[in-house]
Amino acid sequence: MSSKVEKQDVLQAVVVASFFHKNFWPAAGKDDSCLVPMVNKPLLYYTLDLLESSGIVDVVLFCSSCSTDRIKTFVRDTSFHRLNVTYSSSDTCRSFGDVLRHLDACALIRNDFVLLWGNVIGKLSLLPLVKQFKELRQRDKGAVMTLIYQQGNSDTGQTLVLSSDSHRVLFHNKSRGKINLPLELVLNETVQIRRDLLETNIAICSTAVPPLFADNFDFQTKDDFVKGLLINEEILNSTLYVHIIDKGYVNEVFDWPSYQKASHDILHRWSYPQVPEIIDKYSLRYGNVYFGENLKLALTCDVGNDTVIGSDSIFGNGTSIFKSIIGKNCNIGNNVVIENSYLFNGVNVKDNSVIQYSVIGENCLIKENSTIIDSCILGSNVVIESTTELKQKQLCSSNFNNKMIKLSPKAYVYDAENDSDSDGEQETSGLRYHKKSCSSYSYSSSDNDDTASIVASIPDDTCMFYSEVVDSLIRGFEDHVHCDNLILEINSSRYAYNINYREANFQVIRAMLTLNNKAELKALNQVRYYAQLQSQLDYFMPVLKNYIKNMDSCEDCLSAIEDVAKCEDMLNTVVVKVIHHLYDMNVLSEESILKWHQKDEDGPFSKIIRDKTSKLVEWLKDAEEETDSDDSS
Amino acid sequence: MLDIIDEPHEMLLDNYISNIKRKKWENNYTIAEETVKLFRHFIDTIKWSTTKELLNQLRDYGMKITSALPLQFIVGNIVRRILNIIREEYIDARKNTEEEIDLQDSLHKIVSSEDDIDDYNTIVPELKLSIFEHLDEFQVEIESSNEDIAKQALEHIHSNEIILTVGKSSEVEMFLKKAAKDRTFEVFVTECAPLNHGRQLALNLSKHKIQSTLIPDSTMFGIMSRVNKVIIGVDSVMANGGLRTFNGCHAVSLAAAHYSVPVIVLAPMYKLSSRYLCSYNQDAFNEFVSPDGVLNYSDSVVSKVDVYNPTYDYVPPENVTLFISNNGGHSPSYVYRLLSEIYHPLDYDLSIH
Repeated sequence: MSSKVEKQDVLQAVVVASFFHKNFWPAAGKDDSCLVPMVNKPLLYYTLDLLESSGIVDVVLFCSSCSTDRIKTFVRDTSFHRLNVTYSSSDTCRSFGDVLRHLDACALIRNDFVLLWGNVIGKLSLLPLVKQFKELRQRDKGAVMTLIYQQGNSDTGQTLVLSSDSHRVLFHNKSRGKINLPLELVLNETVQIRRDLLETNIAICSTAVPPLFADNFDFQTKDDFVKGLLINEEILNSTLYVHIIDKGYVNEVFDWPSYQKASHDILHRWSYPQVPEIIDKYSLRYGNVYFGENLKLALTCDVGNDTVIGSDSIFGNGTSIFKSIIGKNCNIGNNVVIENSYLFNGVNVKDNSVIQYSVIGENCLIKENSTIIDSCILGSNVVIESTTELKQKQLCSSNFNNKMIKLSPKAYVYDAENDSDSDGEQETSGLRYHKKSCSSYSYSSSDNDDTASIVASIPDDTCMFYSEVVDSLIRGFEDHVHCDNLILEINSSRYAYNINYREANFQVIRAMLTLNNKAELKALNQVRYYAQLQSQLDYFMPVLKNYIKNMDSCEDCLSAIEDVAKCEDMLNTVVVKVIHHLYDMNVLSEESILKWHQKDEDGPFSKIIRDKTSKLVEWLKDAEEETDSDDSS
Repeated sequence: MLDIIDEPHEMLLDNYISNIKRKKWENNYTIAEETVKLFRHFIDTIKWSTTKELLNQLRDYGMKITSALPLQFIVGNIVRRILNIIREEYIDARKNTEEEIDLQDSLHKIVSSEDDIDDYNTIVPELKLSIFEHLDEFQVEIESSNEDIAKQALEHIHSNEIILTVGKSSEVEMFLKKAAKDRTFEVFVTECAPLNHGRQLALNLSKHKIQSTLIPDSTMFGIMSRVNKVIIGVDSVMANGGLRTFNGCHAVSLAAAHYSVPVIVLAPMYKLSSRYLCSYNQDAFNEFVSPDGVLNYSDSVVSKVDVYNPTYDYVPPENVTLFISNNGGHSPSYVYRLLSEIYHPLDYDLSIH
């Protein structure tokens, strides 16, 4: 009897505080990713706060055993009085599925529970949702899980087919591009096909979920689980439902781009009441500027919008900060520029340094005149010597497994390209690096020398077309394939990916100019680079002539050159030569070059490239006048 | 020993602060009641011998709470009110025991004798008991304040008048309902976007058979020429007689001033604050909540715009005609006098001992 009463009252939440990825490395390790500071509070704080404010008392916190102590200390110090936290840890768990199997083995789950990662921020009242779930279970005994999604605004690349009236999941697919929907889906009932739902990583589960994971040992992630259940619906006799939040705000943080997004949302108060001045001691000024306590800001320092400055920090004269989050006890010198960056607690930045789009780990020391830009990620305790320039680097203070390049006694650079053994872990960190640079690219249109990031930012089909063209050209050049065949190949890919004529011109030129991969580029010096490029261009001349025929296509060609030069320094240096060469070979017409040069584009880079080519243009103009005068005389 | 007593109170305090911060207690009335309860518990748990010690501890404690909740002016009001109650009780007790001061005495004698009372060092027996009795009275005052205000409704609302109100306020709701028992009149309620609390009020009034019309905020000016009275609730009354009140009230009060329509503010005594408007920033006056109501998060423009959703408006005292408190009607220029009656001047700044 008593057990029955208890069974109805206890509502548990399972927080998985171990992410099984290294996305936040080196700023946070693999095991304590959930403690990475988010607006100067550990990420896990937001999740526990969400649970506490939604009235849940019993929390089972799963963490890997090496981080248990740190997490325990954190939870104890942050006074979650109303939470009753049970810790569970295991060394053998390698995935989300393992965690649930572990929970099943420990028999910690007694009732319906809320399952979430330790990276969820926002506000959501869970109790009504759990009540709904219980009512649902009355109607459908097989209901095992309600997945909670947030209404998004754009294509999220995840397709869900739901039955309209009950919101039952009928189909789930996470792959981008085209998908095939089985016809049976729409035959019997009205359905919604949704591609605008954002993952929140919160799910309400019945007690049947952990045993299901235990029975199907190949379920590694929640997606596996969803997929497996949908395929074997009859056998497993379990159904899934979806709840969509259209009001309010819930978000998850799994890598740097989502970290940027979530910090932005917190500063803009979408996550209210999880905003800095409520969860900690800050004062808010107009323009979303949050000041901590005991700040020492010099009179001449300039604090821009969307900024958080943690307590006890010191800022020197002429320093300017913009869209950045500064931790507690930071000491920033004179004339420092910090933009779009995240500085954790205790960072020390000396005079005249520049930090843009970077993450600086705890207690780092950056000495005078350093430049750290374009998604650098520094681990804790790194010391950067003066006048260092860093771009897209990941640094640690100590040398892990000797794969790092030594920069100074307390700074080791992680080098993805020289890393010969590429197991899964390295791949993820590489991916994140592209993602981060991609997002900073779209945020700021800052010059970015990584082609991969640009490729990632253009639409899928075009992207595929581009890579196919690159493949054909490389093969063609190496195997001396006849150019007519190459044209045929390119055209067929053009039809396959439904690329219009002008887009194709643009992509073909781009592909031609980016044939050399990074590693080769490094080996070449400027002269040899141009020699090789010229030989390639000459070889592909028939292809070029085939695509560049009229005024419009010349324009496409020039804008492609500009685009590539923007992100590749090598080409940038020889861009005038390339244009001149193409003019000599009668690919580009004189008028088109003049027209392109006159066209006013904003952005610093297009100005630079036009300045560079102005000599060529003058020469062209002179030549034109000469011929004119020749004609008249 | 001390720990055992202290710990439950710490818990109570944590709960109190987190409930207010997380908006579990939205209503000012609830906050006022809970604050009094918290202080009762605090006075019960701490140890003190002289009144001065008690006052100092309470001021420290009050300082702690008000700095944790800088935007809830009400908390500060209650703290100062309780300090004043203790002072009064002490002086009363002294008077009763010694009966030194006769009100008929010369001014000189009163002024010079006040000095020995002011140090609050004499131990008064049974002071705790009388303080608690007074706190009970105070609690009753808070509880009945809405009714006391509503009792005056018939003096202000006449038959066939058109009343305009903004948003939802429990005082206004009770006031109108009370008046509707004897009079027929018409009420316009503005929606008060983005929170749209006005809808709820219009619904409640129509259930009570009061003819009410819900209007968008923007149409308020067009209707104002027909309105006889504007009656609004308030979050807190500032020391100069200005108001910190729902977003949108300033526009309404300006429109009312344009058409010379009287603006009546229903403010129970516990909403009288000793603070002035010094800046519109969050740390001193306003509160910015989630921009959710202004713009949907799913709208694609969200990352490119700054959206603000302030909760309060400041209405300057010249735009207010009359305050109705549980003690009767007052003009804005009289607020300073009320302040010195209910708060002791020494308590305005809690950090000074």
